[in-house]
Amino acid sequence: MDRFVFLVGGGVARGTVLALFALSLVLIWRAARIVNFAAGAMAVVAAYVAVGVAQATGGWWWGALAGVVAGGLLGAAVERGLMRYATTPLGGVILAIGLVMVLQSALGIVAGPQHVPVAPPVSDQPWSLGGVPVGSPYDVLVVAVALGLMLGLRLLFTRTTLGLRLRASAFAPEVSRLLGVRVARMRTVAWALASAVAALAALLLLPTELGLNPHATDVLFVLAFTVAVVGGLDSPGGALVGGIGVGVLMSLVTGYLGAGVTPIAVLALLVVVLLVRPQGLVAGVEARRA
Amino acid sequence: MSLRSPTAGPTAEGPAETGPRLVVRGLTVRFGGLTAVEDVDLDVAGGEVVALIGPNGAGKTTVFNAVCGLVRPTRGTVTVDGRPLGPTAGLAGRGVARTLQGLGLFPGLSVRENVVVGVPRGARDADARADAQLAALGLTARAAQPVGALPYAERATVALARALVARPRLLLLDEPAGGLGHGDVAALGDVIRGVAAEGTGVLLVEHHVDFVMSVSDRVVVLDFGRVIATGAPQDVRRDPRVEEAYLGIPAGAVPHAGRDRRAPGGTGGVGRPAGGGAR
Repeated sequence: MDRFVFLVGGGVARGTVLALFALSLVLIWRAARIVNFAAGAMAVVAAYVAVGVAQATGGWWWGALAGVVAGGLLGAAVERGLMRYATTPLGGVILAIGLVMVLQSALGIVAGPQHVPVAPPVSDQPWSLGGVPVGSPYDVLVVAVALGLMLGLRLLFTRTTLGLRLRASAFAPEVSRLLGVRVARMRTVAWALASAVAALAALLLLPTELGLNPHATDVLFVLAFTVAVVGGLDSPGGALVGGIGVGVLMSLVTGYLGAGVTPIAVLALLVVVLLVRPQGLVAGVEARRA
Repeated sequence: MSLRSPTAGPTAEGPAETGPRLVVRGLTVRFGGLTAVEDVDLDVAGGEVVALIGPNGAGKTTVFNAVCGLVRPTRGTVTVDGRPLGPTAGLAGRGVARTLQGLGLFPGLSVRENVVVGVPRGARDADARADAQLAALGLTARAAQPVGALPYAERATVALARALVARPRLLLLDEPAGGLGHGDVAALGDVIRGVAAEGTGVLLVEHHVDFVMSVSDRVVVLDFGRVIATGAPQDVRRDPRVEEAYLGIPAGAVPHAGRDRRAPGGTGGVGRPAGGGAR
């Protein structure tokens, strides 16, 4: 039972990071009907900016802020300079994959292949509750930041006119344009928001990994893509449920069966969901019917 | 309907000038070798309700789309308030609002949210304006509901509210009476007369002939892409060319002889089936 509590606690923390990254994919999917296969590589670029600023200023939080801003700017630039010209969904996917290659090669040239260790801003040593380790201060920080950001995004989308226009543009771009919504700008905003979210997710993940390198988010992207499909590509709520579900599943499988089985378990979950509910667990809430 | 002075009061968005709001001259649209619309002239003044009618395939929708900038004219000009109309995105900024066949509502959004999207950018009181518009059309009780849950007639009213909340100077209505019942059509007519009374120019495309005759100041009849008649509703109704175009009755011939010129549906006095708008 002790072991179970420990594994679930760690799984929830990891799961919220997955959920955050999956949310980034969902935001872009909803706005542009493109699965952003470059999300991981773009987040790594932002993470290098964050680590660079953190080392220069000595403050993790300054680094995180710079990373999130860099992520947002990069997202806007990628949409304006590249994705805007994708006229078909497949074209968008291919552009994104090409962008991954360019970004990872460029990072390899500029920063080198070595792993840069990233220390957490707060302790990652777990608390002990009656001798049972139950999660660290860093786990709590991760969950708090991730959930806080998701709540903020929810408020943005449901309570503000900007959020409304973002949703309207995603539902029906032609009608929105007729109503005077600047649809192209909304798409840029969506990409910027999503990429900032992905950058933050990558930053939260890094201290628990081996270190920053050009491929640091490869696994994160694959898992987050799984989460987004499991939860429903159209559903932010699905990203949260799917993220925590996959995070806990991975933690439990790793803890009880061994790390080698974990990827198989995640793939098995993906296959089962695609067979039973191909639209995703939480899809259909705001499905397009127009 | 009441008579209105040609110098109707100012709209909320700005003073209403007399004179034409929408001017279409020599509009010709060809799709490849097919001439959909040829040499169409059309004026809509502030405070005026103009109906564009004609059998199926006459070119009504093409004219409408050209006015909105959705279709590029092959020849001819479309100006709003004396200036050429740019791409679609500029419509709202020019004080032009349009409704769509099939309504084009945002299904995942509530009734109020749908209407808020229609409020022009930069307006501070977007929510209050949307609520006032919903109240004016009797939709207050529905405001928080998802728009997809409403019956068709109410969804059509939401679409109208979304157009009206922009307080347009020119309102384009694409088959507003389609799929509506008798009472709803009468209420729609009152709303349109009211909008025009505030100085807005209204152009509508409509199949429902009785509705057109009751609501319009002027009727423009299209057939095979050309204007075949224009004038006051009662004059147009008696025009033999219009009868021929609609019923396939050659002018002066025995009624019902040779009525196979067109598929039925052009005259649709009772509107289309209620399911027609559920796309």
